[in-house]
Amino acid sequence: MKKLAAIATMLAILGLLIIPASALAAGGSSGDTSVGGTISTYYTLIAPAPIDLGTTISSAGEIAKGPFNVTVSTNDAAITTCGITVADKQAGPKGANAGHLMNGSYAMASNLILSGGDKTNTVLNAAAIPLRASSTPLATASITDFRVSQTIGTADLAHAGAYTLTLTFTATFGP
Amino acid sequence: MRTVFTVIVSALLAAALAPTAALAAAGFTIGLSSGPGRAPEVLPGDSYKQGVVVIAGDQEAEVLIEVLGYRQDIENGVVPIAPSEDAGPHSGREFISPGQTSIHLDAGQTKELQLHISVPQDVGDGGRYALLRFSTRAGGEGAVGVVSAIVLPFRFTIKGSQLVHAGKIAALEIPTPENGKPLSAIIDYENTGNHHYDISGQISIKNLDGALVFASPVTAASPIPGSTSQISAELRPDTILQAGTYSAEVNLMLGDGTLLDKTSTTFRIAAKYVAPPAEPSPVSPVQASPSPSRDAAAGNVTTIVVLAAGAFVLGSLGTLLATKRRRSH
Repeated sequence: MKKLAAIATMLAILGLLIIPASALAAGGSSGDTSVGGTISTYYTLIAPAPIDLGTTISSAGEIAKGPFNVTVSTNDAAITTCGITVADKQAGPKGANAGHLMNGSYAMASNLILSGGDKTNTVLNAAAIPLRASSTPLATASITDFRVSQTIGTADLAHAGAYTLTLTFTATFGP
Repeated sequence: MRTVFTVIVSALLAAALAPTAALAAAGFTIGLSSGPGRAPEVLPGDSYKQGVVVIAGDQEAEVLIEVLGYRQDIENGVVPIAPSEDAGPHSGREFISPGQTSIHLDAGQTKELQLHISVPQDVGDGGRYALLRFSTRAGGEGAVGVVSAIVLPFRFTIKGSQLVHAGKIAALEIPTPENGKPLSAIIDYENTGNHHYDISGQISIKNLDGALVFASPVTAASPIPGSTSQISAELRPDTILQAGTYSAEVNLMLGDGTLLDKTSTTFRIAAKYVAPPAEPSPVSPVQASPSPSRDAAAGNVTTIVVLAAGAFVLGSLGTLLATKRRRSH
């Protein structure tokens, strides 16, 4: 996959450099005007897509999913630190149930457990969990081993329905 | 009139890069376009615009835009402060108006918004600080939904005002070193001035007789006024440290040599310690924050190519080619 991505990168950059802007300037559909624009600095977060824990769960046990990639990066030379945190930011309405998969007002007995980056088997709650930080200029922080696991208890099986939770991945650039 | 940017090259590359669909992920990119950037010098009464480009990943996204205050602390780094609690004297939150609270993007789409920056006439001295938070709404299929958020600090310097660069070392710790790994110095540093600044200085390791064993330069960026941050330095003594007690002395200064603060502590080496060899990189042990510059935009243009599949490819040369769509009313 890494090799593929590298080839894609090379193709993309090559493709861009050989396309003269003038050739594109006349393009576009009716009502569109093509212009050249520049971005001096960028700040990127790539997080996992929503995680499917399985469609039907009918027995107690543990469900584990992963690994997933999470990456933050920038080309801003003034940035000396960047970091990735994850939290259940829906804590406002959920209160003490932050970190728990919810089915209506019922919260699974166990919190979702996270691993990845600098953390192993960490209990999810409302507080931000730092997964990885970088403190170098042109900072990039990346993890490739983000995993989630959920223990299903027998009490949970009595509350059939759809369970959901939202992870908030935050990329913070500083100073 | 709303300006819509579409990255043209994505379509041209789509066929060749189809396999990258397997990289499906959430997330997005924020880019700064026209304007002085995140760390401008501003005059009281100044009013200007800063362009911000938002580029979606491979999923449709509703991106919320919030302007918050912030502080820095040792455990959490940059910490957002909600508007209702952001009453500090150095807040620049009210300088920034994004004009809209959200922006809708189709998969792979790019849009630009303009931040309106207005500096009050009676702004006072020093620096002012604010934070932009861009976050997606949770969506898509899956029990575990995902929100992606990018937090971007803005630091304003009030031009012509009295800038106070002062601070103090709150703590110095030298953890017990492991053979073959660098010696660490951990400095908790509080900015007691009214503006951010670059720090330089030196860490000196001495033996019990007061003889200098090793010295290493330190460079770092201060936290914002009123905040404390941690400066971590890796030290690689070029001599073997025999078991015993040593002292570590830290002097932190401004670039012009003005002393900010100094402190010392002792630490013990239980057994003979050998540091790893110096790395070939010429950079100093603690990385500095290069001074932000308005000129950075001209000399540091980076291309962002959004693939059809949604993965981002970042190049170091070129220009983002955009389509500006005019909407008739």
